[in-house]
Amino acid sequence: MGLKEVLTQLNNLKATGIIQDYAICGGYAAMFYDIPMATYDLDVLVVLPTENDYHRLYEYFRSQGAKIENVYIFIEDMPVQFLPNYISPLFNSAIEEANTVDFQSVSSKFVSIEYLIALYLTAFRKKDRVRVQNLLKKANKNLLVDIIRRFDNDEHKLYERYKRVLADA
Amino acid sequence: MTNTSYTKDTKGFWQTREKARSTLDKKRASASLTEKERILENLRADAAFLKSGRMVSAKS
Repeated sequence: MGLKEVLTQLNNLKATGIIQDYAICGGYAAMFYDIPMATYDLDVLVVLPTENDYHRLYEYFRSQGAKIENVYIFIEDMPVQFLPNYISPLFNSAIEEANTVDFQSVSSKFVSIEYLIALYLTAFRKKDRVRVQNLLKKANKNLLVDIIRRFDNDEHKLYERYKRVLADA
Repeated sequence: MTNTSYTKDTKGFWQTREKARSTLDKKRASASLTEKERILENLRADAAFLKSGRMVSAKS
């Protein structure tokens, strides 16, 4: 049991309408883009129209007997964190513009490198800054700046943070 | 997706998540050696699985 089974379950959630869409982000997305990462949990951006739908997602897993700890739902023993699109327009676009990836008999969606960087700039912890440095080597800078400018705001100051990371490089 | 109404105050959302992540990190750090080896083995298997992926549609 592993990631393949987790992705299959995510696809089932989409097929049954429990979620409308999803895209993998966080450490597992970074690993997909060949950035070495020690990560224990799977971050998943999900399209859910309302907060009630988000609660229903937890209710669904509860009814299936899944282990739930804090915000983590354990799927196939993997702690999965669902991040709903109604939290941020950046999440929404990251899902809409995510890349489709084919694995052995299962398909999935992963946020692009540029969106992944923008998401890390939003969190901007020390480890996120290191991840951004690594991901920048593979990113389309023009596209990245376009995303940063589109979603920049007073709360996260994405462009200012981006400039700080570049200055530290 | 275009009609999404976004949460105005997300501070609580992020605080809850940061706390949960920190709890999970501490739990992993205090896991037994056997458990840590199992986690590492799973991570290696997941990394190998991810390497087998082929991008079929790139939106950006």
